[in-house]
Amino acid sequence: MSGPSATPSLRRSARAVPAAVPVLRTAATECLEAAGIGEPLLGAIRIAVSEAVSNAVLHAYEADPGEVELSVEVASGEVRVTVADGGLGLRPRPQSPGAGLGLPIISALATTVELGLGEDGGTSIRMTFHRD
Amino acid sequence: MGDSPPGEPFAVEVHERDGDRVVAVRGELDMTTMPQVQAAVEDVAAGTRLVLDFRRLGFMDSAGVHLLMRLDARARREGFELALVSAPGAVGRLIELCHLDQRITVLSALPGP
Repeated sequence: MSGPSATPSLRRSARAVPAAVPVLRTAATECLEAAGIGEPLLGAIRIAVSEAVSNAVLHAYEADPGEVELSVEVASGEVRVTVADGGLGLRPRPQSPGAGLGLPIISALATTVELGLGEDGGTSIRMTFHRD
Repeated sequence: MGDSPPGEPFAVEVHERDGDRVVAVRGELDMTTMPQVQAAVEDVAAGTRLVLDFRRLGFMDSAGVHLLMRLDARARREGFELALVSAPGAVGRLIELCHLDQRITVLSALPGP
């Protein structure tokens, strides 16, 4: 794989436990700052990453947390962010912790949001954020 | 692979000020740090004012929003007053996005002398 692309990017995984939330958010922040992304877009993406990783931590796994993976790509016109897990997929959670605010907040901040089910049953949240 | 946080370390400081309970929160508020704020506001007495000082809060996500929603409900139920000194930037924008500024008194500065 080679090419002239200079797109700044990040791919990082962490075990889906609460500590993954600040760890992956900080990794995203460093990637975005290195790519010259400033406020208010930086703050919006940081919140969206935090919400998506928090969702994976709270909902993806039951007894034995697996991985949550963050990828960030900074292109000239947009920033693409994906948070994916290999967990149980979308399902109702009547006893869910949290207030169900994560996805509405992501939807309000991102330009586009796409929820996907992985081949292994996991969930992915793909978000794009227009620059300017 | 830097391990330094982007902002200042998380800290919660509690002061009594002219009868108000002032809880100053610094750093980043998410699901890992929210319980420390929760612990600082658990014993607010009826008739007092709880002022959350978020001026040095560098980040907040829905864990903070959820905390504010629960505190607002508690304040109305238990008879204490809730006010917020909000941070500029993304924290303030999230508070507005979730319409918390329509339910909670937002101050531009800490009250009192």
